[in-house]
This record gives sequence, structure tokens and C-alpha cells, in this order.
Amino acid sequence: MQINNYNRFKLNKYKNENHKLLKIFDLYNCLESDYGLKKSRVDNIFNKLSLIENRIPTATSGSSSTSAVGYLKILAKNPEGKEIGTIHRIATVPIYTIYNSSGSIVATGNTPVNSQTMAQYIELSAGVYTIKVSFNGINITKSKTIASGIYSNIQFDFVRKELAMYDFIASCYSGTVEPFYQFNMTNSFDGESTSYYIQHMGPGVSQVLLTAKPNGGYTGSCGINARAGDLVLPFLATSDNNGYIQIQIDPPDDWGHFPTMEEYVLGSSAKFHCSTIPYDEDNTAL
Amino acid sequence: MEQSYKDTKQKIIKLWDKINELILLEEELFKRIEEAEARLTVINQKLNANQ
Repeated sequence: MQINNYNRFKLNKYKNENHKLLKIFDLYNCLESDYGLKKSRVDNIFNKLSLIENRIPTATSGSSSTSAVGYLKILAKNPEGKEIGTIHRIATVPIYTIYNSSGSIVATGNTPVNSQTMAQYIELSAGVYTIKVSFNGINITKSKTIASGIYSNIQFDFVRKELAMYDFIASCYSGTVEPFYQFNMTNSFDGESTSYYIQHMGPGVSQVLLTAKPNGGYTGSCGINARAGDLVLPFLATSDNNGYIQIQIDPPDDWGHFPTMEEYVLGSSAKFHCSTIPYDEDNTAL
Repeated sequence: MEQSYKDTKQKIIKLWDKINELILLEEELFKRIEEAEARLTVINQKLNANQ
């Protein structure tokens, strides 16, 4: 073959590519060796675990022996895959109820609320169970078979219903400003006793008092002193207020002055979620 | 040149398979570590219950 410029270029390119390939091989060999070390350490841990487990007396809570029980972790996730019970400052956490095959309750409790409870398992005799997890008036039920000596998870994925924020209203009367964020509930609210979590979506308002007002009226209103991201507001909607929710922004007491129109307009850039399953606004949930 | 190209291609395919195999093994190892953590938690629970 004649070595012209084009072929020389291709040859050099090939040499370069081959050099890269050799580097990738080296990297792979390092990873493989690293895996071998890690596997050996994990094997050692398992050997030690077995030794410890054999020295621990049988569980005192049940009559079954250790070999006849399995272990279950119950997880309740929001649509983003965050453990609902670990979301910062939510008013209630998901509750689980475990029924045995004859319909009797064998255990109840909270789904995980922190990293410590996240690591815990429920010990159950081997068998078939029905597990119900309830959160914010929503129930999900699943069946689970527990096998002896097996650690398993069961996950409940909660579907969110969200109201779109459709308006920001700032109007003046008698020399004062009345600003509202408004969520339309019409045609999206089924009258169930479900709380709507009103949460801050981002920058814009850091120190305000939020007041949710069904139908724009003052009855049934509730508030939260919303400071430094503390913006989770459980708002119980009932069949009486199937219209819209207004969130009013009032100044905190320590502002020392009534907000100007400009400050309210600045606040109007704030966004809120209004949903049945909370978001992890602080990005700290597990 | 063509043969070298074919050899290299073959090497890449083999390496690709080995990488995928290693990924699966690593995932398996991760599951075993999770299981070890779970077993440790249960041991801790039992020790607390027996105290």
C-alpha cells in the first residue's frame, strides 16, 4: 500500500485509538482488582455476621424461632421517590398496618421518618400478609409473602394530585394592597377529606405569613409563620369549599412597615405547590 | 490494516462484555452490603430487646 498523507493520517489515528484502548484495559483491570478486594471484605463481614447471629438468643417478641421469621421494610414514596415520612416538617407521616392471612392486625406503625428508622426491619413469621399504608386520607394495599431468613422491602408509591397556581392578584383598596396567589380547585377536587400541602417552590418570598382561604373567604382559614423555607401548610379541603384556594401574603411583624406595592410585586415571583403528596422542598428527605 | 481494525473491534466487544459483567457483579455486591446492613440492624434490635 502506498503511504500517502491520507493513509499516514489513518495509521496515526489508529495508533492513537489503540493507545486509548490499552488505557481502558488498564482501567478495567484496576476496577476488577478493586472488585475482588471489596468482595473479599464483604465475604468476611458475612462470616462474622453469621458467627454473631448464632450467639444471639432467639427473639423474645415472638414464639417463632429465628429460622422461621423473615424481615420486612415498608417504604412510602412520593412521586419523586423520596420517603414521605422523612420530608421536612410535614404534619403527619404514613402509617402502615399489617394483617395476617386471617385478617387480624399483627403490626402497625410509622413508615421511616429518619435515617435510623430507615434502616430498621419488621420481624414477621414466614407467611402471607396484607399490608396497608395510609397517608393523607389515601390508602394503598398490597400483598406480601415473607420467607424465612429473607430481608425484603415493599414500596408504596403515592400518586399526587396537584392544583395549578393560575393567578397572582394584587389589588389596592383603601390605600392597602391585598395580594393573593390563587389555586383553582374547580373540577379537580373530589370532596374527599384530603389535605393540600402548600409549599414554596423557590426564591421570591422568604419571610411571609401565608393564609389559605377556601373560596377566598375568611372562614376555615389557617396560617403558618413561613420563615426560612418553613413553608409546608397542611390545608384540609372539605366539600364546602370546592372553588379555589387563595394564599395571601402578609408581612411578618418584625418587618416594621406595611409592604409596598413594589415588595408585593417582588413577592409575586414566588411560586407555590399545592398538592396532596408533599414535595421534598428542602432536598433533605431520604 | 483491515485485520488490525477487526482485531481491535473484537477486543472492544470483549472488553464491553467484561465491563457489563463487572457492573452486574458490583450491583450484586451492593445488594449484599445492604443485606449485611439489614442483618446488623436486626442484630441491634434483638440485642436491645434482650437487654
